[in-house]
Amino acid sequence: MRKKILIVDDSRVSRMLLIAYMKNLRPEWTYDEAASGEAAMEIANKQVFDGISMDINMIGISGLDAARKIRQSQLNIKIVLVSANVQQAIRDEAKDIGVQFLQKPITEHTAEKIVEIIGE
Amino acid sequence: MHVLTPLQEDALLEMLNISIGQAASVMSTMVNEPIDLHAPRMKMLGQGDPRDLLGDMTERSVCAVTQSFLGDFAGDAALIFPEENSLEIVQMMLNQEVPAVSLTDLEQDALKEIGNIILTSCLSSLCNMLGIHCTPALPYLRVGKGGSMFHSVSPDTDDPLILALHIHFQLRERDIEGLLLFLMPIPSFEHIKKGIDRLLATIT
Repeated sequence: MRKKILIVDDSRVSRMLLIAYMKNLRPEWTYDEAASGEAAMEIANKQVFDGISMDINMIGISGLDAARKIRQSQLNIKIVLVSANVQQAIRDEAKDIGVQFLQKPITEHTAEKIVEIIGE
Repeated sequence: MHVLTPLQEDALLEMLNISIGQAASVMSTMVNEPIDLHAPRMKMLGQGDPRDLLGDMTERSVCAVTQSFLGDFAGDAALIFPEENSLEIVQMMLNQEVPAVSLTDLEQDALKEIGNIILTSCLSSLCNMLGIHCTPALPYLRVGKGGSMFHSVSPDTDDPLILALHIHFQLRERDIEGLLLFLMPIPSFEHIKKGIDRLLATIT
């Protein structure tokens, strides 16, 4: 089944890596990109996505805040936060807003977990 | 005088060791190569002294990813590589998943991301152990002579000292060395000391 995914990270390299790994697993899915939380919110307001992979530490609004806002308008969307910031407070906040958390660096395993979460 | 007791210093170095170990594991995953770590060292420095920490990198051209941290753990962190090795590190990180064209366009982005991941994962695991919180700022990449990279900490008329933690590491199979550096103005160190004391209270 085709799914539409938004990859959000201010690092172009991280977006490229994750998309490459995910295309290896799910070439039939479509992938859009955003380099900031604001851009992600703008795109998510205009299109419906099945899932979003979101970095946390970016210029402007944090990925946590962007994820929170997007969830308010798209209740069924699955959001996965992908970050090196493994502090418990961050993980707790992710849990509170109902999003998953995966630790960077981005590897094939990261893509497998995202596919598993979004493909449910 | 803002100093640590021997037990506090021992505890902090051990927690730093654990955090660095986790960061090294992260780095190893990114570059697909074993990382050898030297024991972390701690030093009190006066203004202008950070250059002493760079060793022979003082005179070499280096790439430094620097990142500030705010909150309970406030200060600056840096991941430093010799400039001539930076492209090789980027290529190791990207492996075959990204086309080799225009590596130059991606090099800065990749280096910043490497630094961001390693510095943030190290500090956030340290904060978890200490029960304190920090907020990472965005990483910056600087290229230049090692000795000219670091400037004095903003003057504090009461206490100009800074606490420096440094760890020398090496990518084993390619003989690439690097340096992890954490610089904290002493007044911001009180939260860390409280975290250490909380931890020590559970075991002493």
